[in-house]
Parts: sequence; structure tokens; C-alpha cells
Amino acid sequence: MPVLTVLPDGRQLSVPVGTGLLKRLRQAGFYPDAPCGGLGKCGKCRVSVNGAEVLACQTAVEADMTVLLPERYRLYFPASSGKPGTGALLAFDIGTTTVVCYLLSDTGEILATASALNPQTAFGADVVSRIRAALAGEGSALTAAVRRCMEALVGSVCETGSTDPAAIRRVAVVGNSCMQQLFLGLPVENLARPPFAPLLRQAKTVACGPVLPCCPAAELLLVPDIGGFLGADILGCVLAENLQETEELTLLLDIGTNGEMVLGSRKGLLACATAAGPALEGAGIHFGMRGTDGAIDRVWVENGNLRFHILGGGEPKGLCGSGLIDAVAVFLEAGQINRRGRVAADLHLTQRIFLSQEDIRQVQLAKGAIRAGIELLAEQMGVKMEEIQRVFLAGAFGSALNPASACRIGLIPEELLEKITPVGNAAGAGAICLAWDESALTLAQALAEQIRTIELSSLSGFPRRFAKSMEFREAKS
Amino acid sequence: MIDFEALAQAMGELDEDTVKEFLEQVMAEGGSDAGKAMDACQKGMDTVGKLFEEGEYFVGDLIYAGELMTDAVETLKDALVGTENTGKKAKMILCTVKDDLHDIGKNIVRSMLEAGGFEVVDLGIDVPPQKVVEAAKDEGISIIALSGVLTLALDSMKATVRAFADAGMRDQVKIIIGGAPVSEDACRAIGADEWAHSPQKTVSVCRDWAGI
Repeated sequence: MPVLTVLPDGRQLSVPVGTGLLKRLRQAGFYPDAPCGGLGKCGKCRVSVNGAEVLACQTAVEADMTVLLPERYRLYFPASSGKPGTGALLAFDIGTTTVVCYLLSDTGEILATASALNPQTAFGADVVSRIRAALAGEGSALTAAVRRCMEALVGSVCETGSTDPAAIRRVAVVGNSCMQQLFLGLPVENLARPPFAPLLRQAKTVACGPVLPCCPAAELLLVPDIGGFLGADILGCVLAENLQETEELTLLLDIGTNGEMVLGSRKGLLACATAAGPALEGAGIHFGMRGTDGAIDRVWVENGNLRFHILGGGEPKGLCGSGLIDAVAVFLEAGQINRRGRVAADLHLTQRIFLSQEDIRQVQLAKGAIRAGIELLAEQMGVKMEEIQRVFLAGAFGSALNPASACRIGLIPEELLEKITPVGNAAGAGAICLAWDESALTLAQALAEQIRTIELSSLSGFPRRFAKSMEFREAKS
Repeated sequence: MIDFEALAQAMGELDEDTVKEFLEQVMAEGGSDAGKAMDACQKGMDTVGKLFEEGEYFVGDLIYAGELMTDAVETLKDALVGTENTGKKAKMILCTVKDDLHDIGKNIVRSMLEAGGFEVVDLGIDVPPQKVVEAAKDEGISIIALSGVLTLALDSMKATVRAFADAGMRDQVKIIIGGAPVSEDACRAIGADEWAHSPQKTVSVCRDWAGI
């Protein structure tokens, strides 16, 4: 059997002849970026094999091989922040892209926080590719990947918070339906085929040990999903922002790979999901990347010159979501993108980094889907856009986003600009509520039953709205 | 007198207000020019398809064009009944395959096919293989277009092609598959006759098959 040597760690793995390199790396706990799910399309799982650059997903191991992984392909855990104390509770937000873990005291005080890239990213950037991987027999590998990541996060926060993981009493988890089901090791067939009915309909408490052995004494709180693509994460956002009790008509937007939104007030809540795709998180964009060191995260014009900010300083490597939206806004204002999204030539930020026509098309699809969702949600509720009093932007991307740019490209209606407030990781905040407030789980159950959902594609006005929402407003000349 | 060149151009530019004005004028004048107006709209749709293939237009523009075309037919339909505007039409079947509910792409293709001279029997979305076979048998149709967006749709396309083979009809029909997940490889694996990513290609392939 060939031996695969993985550098820089130097680990040696035995590999049956003909096994895909990406697959074997994933089994061993290395998770290369593979937003396209290993189809050979995105070019992001590039590794160096015996000195030559190859795509891991397109390479089979036929003989002894040495592979050099870029630093970023290994699971990384940013240093956990916080203060020591006696931790008792854990809250998790399992995002499609990022997993966040909070260690809490008995009274809900945050003692430590840690986050990591969801290692399932090696199976594809969006839920659809994860579902496809699960259906192709990788279900247990996906489950193992996320649990491994969660256990490592528990270790990290407990170390910072000087807490014995075995003493944890309760663990609350939120995530979208697909993340929840894969975490629990449930089949995901329900998410692959219409009518996309949710599997977890009932809030419940089970033993945590069988799922996360590092917390043998804890109970695990399971939050119900609202719909097939409206998960416990958006429910967590509603809980955290107390939407069900607010007087003001509020739009809560969780813009991620799967855009979820809720509109309403104490008089009633209406929710929908849109398939925005991973473009806004930098995947599927030629120079797209996540918001890590080297990413251009802000772009603006100063005295007629294009300026940008690079995370961590240094040389720019690519654009993350917020930088992408800024860049499109700047190029629109400069008249270099027309109403239909057509560009005459590549739009350069630096000599090396540019936006192509195809990149602009991906942005159009994503923003068109979200914008159409906002408009149809308002229409279904029978309210005008200007009647919306507050817009909460949730999620890592929503919080990093420059609201003016989001409105300039038409992702969010321009009349809502002054009403936008970023609220950070609202899904995580919801998980925290659930972990320490015993009545929150009952409330979550009630909300899951109360929130009405609409299926956008079933509305007759959807195609035209989607089409119009893909257009841009041209610069005023 | 209506300027049909200008109507075709307005359609090609997706200028909804102008298209609407022209069509309302046609009807206000008694509708005798409805056939010519329809031809002009179809010419405009050819322009839309061309601009899409050139990258000038995007999916949103195609959807919008399809909506404009549907509206145009709606406005003109009373006057169109009984007029022989485009001669005899070739019949074909179009549907989104089983387990896929996406109809935007299918509807775009339908309006382009209709503009291209087909009478399209649209079986809708999430259509099981057997239903496609039965419709082809019942109506004596030999051109089948299968649409899908999900990767899972490829399995359903394959099952549909197999259902024609099982019914002993595979050599009597021509099958084209279309949508984001299809490719040359997928076409071969599925056993379809042709594949397309653009509605323009679907129209030209089907026109070749129908000899129109």
C-alpha cells in the first residue's frame, strides 16, 4: 500500500491504491478548502505533490507520495479569549462556514469564546454540496468532521476558562437544518428532495455523551427547525433579538451561504430562505477568499483613487465578502458596470487582483435572490418597504458588511440604509440564551410553530422579481 | 401603421413600456396585425438569445424576456386565434424532471421555443419518467426536452431516458437535456442525444430535429 507523507506535519498515512487525495486527507483530519465539493471546478484545493502543484480532488494516490499543504489547510483555532471562572454551560453555533463555541457560567456570563472553520468545507462550500456528499456515502465522515471540530473547540474554551469539560452541565446547539442533522448523524434525504420538510420538529433534551464524548455529564438541547431551509440558527436569531415581542416592524437578515430572513413584530413573524449561494462569502469568485489574513475587506475611493484595507496588513491575496460588495459598489459608481451587470473588461483592484465578468454574475445571482426575498416577504406581509422600521444584519458576513455598499449594489433596498444595525452573531447569541435560560427552549418550540414561512419559488411573482433584483442602479452621470 | 422593426428592437432591448405600447396599439387598431407583431416579438427574442450567448445579457434578462413574451401572447391572443401567423407548428415536450422543482429555466426555454415556432407541451415540474413517456405516446411527440437545476436531476434524466428505452420507444424520440448540471459527460452517461446550457442552443437543436 502506498504511503502518503503529509508536510509540514510529517504525518505518514497508508493509502489504498487509487484513493482520491482529497478524500484521504479529509479522513486524516486535514480539510483542504474545496468549495465546489471536489468536482475539479473551483481550483481552491491546490496542494503541492512531489514539488508540482495539483488539485487534491483530481489526484489519485497511485504510489508513494509527498504532499505539502499550505498552512491554512489545517484546522486552526484562533486563541480563545476570555477570563477564567467556573464554566458550566456550552453554546454552539454551527455555521456552514464557521463553528463558534461559547463557554458560559451558570448565570450565562461568557467566559471564553473560540471559533474554527467548519471542516466540512472540504466537502463543499454550501449546504447543497454537503448534502450531495452525504448522499454519496460521506455522511458519517461529515458527522465526524464537525464533531471533531466541536470537541477541539470545547478543549480550547475549557482551557481558557479553566473548566473541566466533564463538569459541563448543558450544551445548546443551533445551526441550519443541514448542519444540525449532520451533527446528529441523521440522514439528510429530506433536504435533497421536495418538499424539504424539516426532520427536527420538536425541541428536546438528550444525553450529550454519545454525541460529544468530551462532555459525558451534559444534557444536549436540540432546537427545532422552522422549515427545511429555515433552521434553528435563524430561530436563535429571533430569540436573541426578541423579535416576537418587539413593537417595531423589524427585518432580520442572516446573510450567509443560505440567506435566511424574518420580518415582523409582536403582531406576527414571517420567514423565508433564499439560495444566495456562497459568492458573498468569497467562494465561486476568482479572487474570493474568506475573511482571513491577506483578504481585502474594505474598498473605497479617496480623492479619486481606489483605496483598500487588507486584513492583517501585508500583501493582498484576494477579496472576502465585505470587500467584494464594496468593490462592486465602487465600480458601479465609477460607471464600469452597467445596469445589466455587463463589464467591458476585468475590473482591477491591483495588478494581480481583479473582478471578472463571471464574478459580477455570481454577485448578481446572490444579491438578486436576497433582494427578491426581502421584497416578497414585505409584499406577503402587506407592508411597504418604507414601513420597515429596523433592519438587523446578523452573522459574521452581515456584521462585516458596509451597509452603504450593500444598499448601493441593491442587496438591500436603498430606502432602508439608515435603519440598518449589525447585530453580530445573533444565532450564537440565541444558543447562549438557550443554554442558560431554561424557559428559552419552550419559547423556541412555540416560535417554531408560530413563525409562518413562505416558499419563494412557489409565488407567481418570484421569477420577475428575481430577474429585476439582479439589475444594478447605474451611476448618476 | 406599426413600425415592426422598432417593436422587434424594443423586445430585443427588453423595453417593456415600448413593447406594451406597440401591442396595445395593434389591438386598438383591430388586431389584424397581431401575427406580424408576434413575428416581430419573436425576432426580438432571437436578439435576446444572441445577446445572452455573447455574454451581454444574463439569466435575469432571459427571465424578464420570457415574462415579456408571455405578456405579449396574452395581449395578442384574441387576435391571434384563427390567424395563420407562422404556419404549422412542430410539437414537442418540455418539463423539469422528477425531484426538481425549478421552473425558471424551463419557462425561459419554453418561451424561446414558442418564439422559435414550437407548440410546447409543458408537463410542469417534478415530472416522473413514466408521465413523459405517456405524454409522448399519447400525443405522438418525438422531441423531448428535459430540464433540471439540481445535481440530483441528472439521475431523473437518466431514469427518463431509460423509461423510453423500456417502453421500446428510444429510437422514436430525440432527447435533449438542459440546465446547470448537464455537460458532455453527463449527456453521454445519461444516454441523451444532446445537451445545452443556453436556451438558444436548445432552440436550434430542436429546430434541426423538427426540420423547421
